[in-house]
Amino acid sequence: MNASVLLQVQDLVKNFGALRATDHVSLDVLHGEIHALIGPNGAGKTSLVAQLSGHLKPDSGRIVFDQQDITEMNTHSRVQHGLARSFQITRLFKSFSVIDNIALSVQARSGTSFSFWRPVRAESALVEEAMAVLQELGLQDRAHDLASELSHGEQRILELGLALATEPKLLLLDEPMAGAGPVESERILNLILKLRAKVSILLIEHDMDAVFRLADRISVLVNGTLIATGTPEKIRHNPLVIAAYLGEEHA
Amino acid sequence: MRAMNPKTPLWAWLFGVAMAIGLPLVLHALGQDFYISMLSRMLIYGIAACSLNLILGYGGLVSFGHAAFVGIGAYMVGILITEGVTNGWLGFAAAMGVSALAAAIIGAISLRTRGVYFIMITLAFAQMIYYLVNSIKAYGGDEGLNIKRRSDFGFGLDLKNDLTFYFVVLLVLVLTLLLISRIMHSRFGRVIHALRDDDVRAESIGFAAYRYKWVLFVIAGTLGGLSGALMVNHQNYVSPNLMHWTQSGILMVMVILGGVGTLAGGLWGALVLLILEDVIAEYTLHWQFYVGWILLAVILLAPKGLSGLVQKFRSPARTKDSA
Repeated sequence: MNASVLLQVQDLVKNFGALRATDHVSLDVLHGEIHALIGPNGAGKTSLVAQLSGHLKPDSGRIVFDQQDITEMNTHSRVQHGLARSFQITRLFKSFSVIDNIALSVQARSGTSFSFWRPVRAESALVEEAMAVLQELGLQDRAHDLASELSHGEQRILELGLALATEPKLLLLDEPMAGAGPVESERILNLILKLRAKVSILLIEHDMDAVFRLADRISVLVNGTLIATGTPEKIRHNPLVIAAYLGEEHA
Repeated sequence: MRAMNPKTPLWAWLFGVAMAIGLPLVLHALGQDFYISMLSRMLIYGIAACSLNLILGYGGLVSFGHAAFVGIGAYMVGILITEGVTNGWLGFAAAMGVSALAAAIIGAISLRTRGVYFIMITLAFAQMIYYLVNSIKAYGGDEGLNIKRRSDFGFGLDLKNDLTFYFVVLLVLVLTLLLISRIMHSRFGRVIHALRDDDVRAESIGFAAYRYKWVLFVIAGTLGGLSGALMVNHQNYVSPNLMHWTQSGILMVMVILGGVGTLAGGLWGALVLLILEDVIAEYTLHWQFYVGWILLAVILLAPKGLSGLVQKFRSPARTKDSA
């Protein structure tokens, strides 16, 4: 396998009864790449992400991550190997403060959490690392507010931050801009641009302007099948993609 | 969860300590040792309910078989004393050890299920143990087991003395609450809080949810066993009824009444329920009917139990801090 390939999806199939959500999908994500996955609603994008993150078991096929077959690996082990995801519908620890959300992600990758006596608040290293992540996210001013008190856009950023704070090699971002307004979307887009230097990203997104600005390569999923993969320029002019999804306005 | 509990004011602490230490001394001076024994019973149930609150409240897992662990602890001490082993350290260690083992096995299986299945499977395990103990004729079967002596801890402690027994129970209660408090503020405790918020999310940042829940389940079962070891000493008797599912239900009522997921919620619930039971039972046989109404009122009006109610009155503007 090519050393520059970080994630390799091989011939993945997933059926829900008679519905084939993932139909022999093969896909590569390279080191340092932002690879966007686009497609109409119901194309099977979220099902694919769920299989990559370990929330769903594929019926057949293989997932190789960082030279290792992870097809049978459970979610938390995948995270520890450097494959973290964010969710399309925000899932935060709502009763935690913003900084404690991030500190929890930091805690998950640093040392054992089977520690029962020492107060976690006394661990200044956790707090400092979490603060550094919050600064990267631009949420440092909200550090001590409850996660549930954030605006929708800020919650989307924190959602991404929870995954980022695990220090992944590959981030699976499932519609990071879902439901965010134009200003917030721009903020998230800039954040993703900033992250490209340090982490590979598989980006699922409906906002085509964002996708074409961010992606190094784009794959197009329709009815569970990949119909095209290529640079944004190639995808923009691919007649199959135009017919199935983009329509004329993006061409 | 930046401040799990707003700081308890000093006067409340002093009052609590004064009551816990002073009340039994006053009762003793008045020659009312019967009431000291009642207080001991309340505190023992408090320990049992606080241990259940670990899984039910902090863990958000509705375990409907907690009385099994209490019963196992009680029976271990009872059986050892019957066999002539009166050493309390040994008896209590055995009680907690076997409860831990039972919780390890029951938890390992039950925690693979969710929601209503988890409720039913914990209930099923507890009922299995209940019927098992019922059938062990050598130790009393369904008639229960009388013990002729109480556990002996050395240091000249005579557990037959109501006042001494009370202070031993009080010490165990304080240590239990201290332990639970430390655990819930540790790294492990933070993971448990996170799992209750969203266990799928916790998995997705790298926590093996199942393992943390399992350890929590074992800790709760062990402390349940500890309360059982005290209970058999208190009653000089243990019967399978201690493990019946209605007992699990009573412990759950105590937790809900006192405050789900609060440190001392189980204790307040035990105090209130047992006092209510005694007071209302003075007037009517159907005390449970009235307790039912009170429980209904608590659930509707104060979903965080009495602990939550007290916090609400003290700091109406700071509700978010009590999250």
